[in-house]
Amino acid sequence: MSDPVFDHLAAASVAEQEGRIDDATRILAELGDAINNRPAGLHLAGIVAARRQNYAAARHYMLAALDLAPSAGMVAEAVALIHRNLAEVHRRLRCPADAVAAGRAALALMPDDPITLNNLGVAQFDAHDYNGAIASFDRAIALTPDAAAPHFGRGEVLLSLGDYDEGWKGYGWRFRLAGVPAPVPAELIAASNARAWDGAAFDGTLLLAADQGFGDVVQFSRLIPWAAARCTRLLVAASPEILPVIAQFPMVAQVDADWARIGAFDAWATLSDLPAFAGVTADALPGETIPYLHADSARVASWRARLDQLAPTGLRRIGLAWAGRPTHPSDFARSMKLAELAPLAALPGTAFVSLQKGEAQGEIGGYFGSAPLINIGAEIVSYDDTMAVIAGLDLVVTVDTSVAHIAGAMGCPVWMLVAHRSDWRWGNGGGTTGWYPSMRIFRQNAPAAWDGPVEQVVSTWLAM
Amino acid sequence: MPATSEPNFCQCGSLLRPLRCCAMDVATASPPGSAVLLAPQINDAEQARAGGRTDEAIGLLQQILELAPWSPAALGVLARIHQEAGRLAPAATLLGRIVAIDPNNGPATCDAARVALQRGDISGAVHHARNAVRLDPMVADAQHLLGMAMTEANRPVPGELHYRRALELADGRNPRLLANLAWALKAQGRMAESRALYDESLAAAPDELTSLLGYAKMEEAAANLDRAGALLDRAAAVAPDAPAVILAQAVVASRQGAADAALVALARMQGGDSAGLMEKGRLLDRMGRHDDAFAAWTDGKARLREVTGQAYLADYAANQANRLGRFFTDARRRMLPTAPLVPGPQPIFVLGFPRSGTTLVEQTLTAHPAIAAGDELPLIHDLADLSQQVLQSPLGYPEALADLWMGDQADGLETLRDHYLRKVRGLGIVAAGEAWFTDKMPLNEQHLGLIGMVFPASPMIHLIRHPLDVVLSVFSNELTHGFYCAYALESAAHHFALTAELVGHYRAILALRYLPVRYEDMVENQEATTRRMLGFIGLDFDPACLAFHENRRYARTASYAQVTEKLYDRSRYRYKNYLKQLEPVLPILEPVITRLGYVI
Repeated sequence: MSDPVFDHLAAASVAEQEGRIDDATRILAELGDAINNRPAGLHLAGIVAARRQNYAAARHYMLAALDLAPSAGMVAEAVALIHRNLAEVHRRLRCPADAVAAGRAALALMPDDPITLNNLGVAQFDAHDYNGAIASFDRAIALTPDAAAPHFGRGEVLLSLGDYDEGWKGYGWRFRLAGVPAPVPAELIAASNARAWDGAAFDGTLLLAADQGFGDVVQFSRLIPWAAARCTRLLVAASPEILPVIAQFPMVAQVDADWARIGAFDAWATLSDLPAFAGVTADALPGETIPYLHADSARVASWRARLDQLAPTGLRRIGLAWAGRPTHPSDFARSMKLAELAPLAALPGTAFVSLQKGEAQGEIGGYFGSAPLINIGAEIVSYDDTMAVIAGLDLVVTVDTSVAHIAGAMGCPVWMLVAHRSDWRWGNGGGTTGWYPSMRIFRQNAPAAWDGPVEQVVSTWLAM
Repeated sequence: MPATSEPNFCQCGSLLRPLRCCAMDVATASPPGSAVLLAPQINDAEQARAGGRTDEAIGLLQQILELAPWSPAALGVLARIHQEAGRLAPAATLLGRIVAIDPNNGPATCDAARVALQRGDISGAVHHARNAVRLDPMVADAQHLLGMAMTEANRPVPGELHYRRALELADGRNPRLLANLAWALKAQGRMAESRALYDESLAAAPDELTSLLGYAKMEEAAANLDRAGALLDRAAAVAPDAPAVILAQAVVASRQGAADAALVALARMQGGDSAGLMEKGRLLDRMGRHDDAFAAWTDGKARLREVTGQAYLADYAANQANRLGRFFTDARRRMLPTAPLVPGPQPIFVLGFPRSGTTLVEQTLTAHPAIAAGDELPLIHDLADLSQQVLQSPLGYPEALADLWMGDQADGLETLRDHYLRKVRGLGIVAAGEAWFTDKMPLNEQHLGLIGMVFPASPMIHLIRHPLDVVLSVFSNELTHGFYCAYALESAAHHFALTAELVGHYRAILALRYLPVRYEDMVENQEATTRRMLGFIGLDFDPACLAFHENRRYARTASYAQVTEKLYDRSRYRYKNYLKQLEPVLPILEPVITRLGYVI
């Protein structure tokens, strides 16, 4: 005898797995309360909610599913899957302790599931349980040696801990992660009959792909001169937005955003390979290269004049950026809302200069703080502009985004607010970084709690 | 008289059938003079009107206009009947019809201007009065009307010019004209000259009520309350029951702190016009009788709508906001030029919804020796209107600004900028040594994009106040700003939300020299807020700004009485007394209340 609810749930599940989230949502909505006595239905509703980035609803559904699971006679593997998914939902909600607990619950039911182990490792990393995270990743690697995620996760943990030698090894798995495109198209490599570069000096043309985010490109571009000294001719392929950064290195023979225009090359590597190749260690970060980015003087004068129009010269000017690229996997943790910077808005004698681009720029319409906030980001077109504006500021206050790297690479004062578990490059504590000597780091004391670092920024500024 | 609501009659209230009124096609109009055969009947109707036999006159006119619906003479008599009965909306409709088919009809054009003035339709009054002067500049009535229209449109300088021309053309020095000229001078802060003209007017006609009332209001505005009271005593002797006199007495008593006496005065006012009811409400509010106050305001607004026939132009407002939002986009912003700075005094834009504290801030700023008071300058609206013509665009504003991208229109912004600054120079508001002047026209914030293009270096100080306080205050005053949104509580709330959304849009996509200032901060922390504003302008602090109530400059707007008092917080969170009455607008305002950082 057919079960229409089961049939609908099956259809919704197929829709979810095929990425037809609207369809899945609609089917579940049609079922209404009929899913309330079915843990599988509630679990699916949780998954769909998570896919819609409504993590609070996802948690609600998944917890309800777990409540119902014993009485419904749900099998252990199915219950484990709920816990496993719930771990990621907790993590997205910036509740790492809950995420670890959920991960452990899943692992208790599926002790040899490498995905569960990987997810637990990620949650443990977020919860600052570095040893636990490494242990989880190691177990996952032992079970599935070719899976990239645990290798990469392990690498990030080790880099955070300052073990760069071991960390780079795991970091090297990043291009094997699911959904990550190859840094250089295979057909281009084949056409040039090129080899992957290992960092050794050679006679020939080297192609560097400016991979990862714009901040990574800025950070690692300091090693372009190092790479250029180890080949005859250096080419760089980069996104059009970041070309102004690469263009600051005259030793690059050709930089282009179009693969079709990249000439033949003998070897290739990515920009983010360079620290490993160059033997960068936590004890010897290449801060001495600062400043390696410079604003164009004519552009600086032009932007200064524009800023003088928009803010009186008597006020100290602090640049602000509060959000990064929304598609970054950790954006939920590293970006904040402009409203969370409210205590800064009360600083006397100060004008804020927004360097914010993208969707978050819209938050300026809702800013009503005491200090004026100049939306100069609305007129910034390129990183050349960003550099020129930053050159005219007294300070930049930013989250962990490309603006932080630009200011740091220019040697300008920059105060960066980072998540409770920051990106590996900022280590696991401390207020400074060897990557950028002009940078101060203000860390969250707890997940999602921006009030602490913001208050610190205010008190530090007032004490100056 | 015939019922005005008979279903067969046109909705405009003309007492004519729709097919002989607003449903007519102007293309079917007969030429003026074609109804000459009906002249005797029209004359009969006019005689009936003049003799007070209004029903008979209307009956005749209904028959005449069935036969000759475009007859200017018949329409004129019917318009006069409506005007005399206080039915200004149909009077305006009929007069508009006359001048549409007979643009050379000077008397009807003057009447159209007069009715528009009575309705508070200032832009209509300026339009018709300009036409009247164009038709014959030697007609004193036309010059007089244009003087009134200009003065009411916050352009007292050109208003004065037309009054003086009217004086030259008129036989002798008409006391009422002198009083109107005195009012225009008062609006420029030239109190001594105004006083002299009122004295001259009253010397010629001691019982002229217009002069007595205007003179009293001038003295009240100048804070000479005893003198104002004495003049009103004389007015009361002439017309003891005149609502305008009673109202003015109540206002003076209220400002003297005698709220009870003011209420007693108002109680004598039979019926009363909308202004009286609004003032009555404000007095009751001061006495803590909030339910009665709100009821008076509700009655006042109903009366205002009834008399003027005006209501919030919701579709127009929404359409304009939509067009502005669609023109000023993130993608287009890069192509929007800015005008270069020219030497000389520069505007400071004091922005805000009416009743948000713009007058208080202007009084504060203009107590600084470097800042002149420009008051409510209608010039940004002028620039918006002019943009199509200046840029020779086939499109209206704001789309006309797209023509700035044409190679031969690249200097268009400079033309607009120069027009604004030339008009300001003509107003004579900036004295030597003053580097800045204020422009506090409410709702200029709807043109933030245009202002940012024409005056990119001008500070924009935007007054933010609890939306419920703003809407309540707007509701308790007579204002025409914002497409008549103040004529009802809900429309005030709608327009507030609409404007706030538009401002948010501008700020999100444009780099503006913009500083939000909370009215509540002005009240709670006057010095810090004043320092902040002056710092934003780039000026040193001046202690005189804290004693703004001693600034003898006369502020023309509804807030003038408040800004001649020391800073007070009577108006802060006043909405809490009216939460019950404000309930209908809470759903409209809740999102913007949150967005602005307030709570209920």
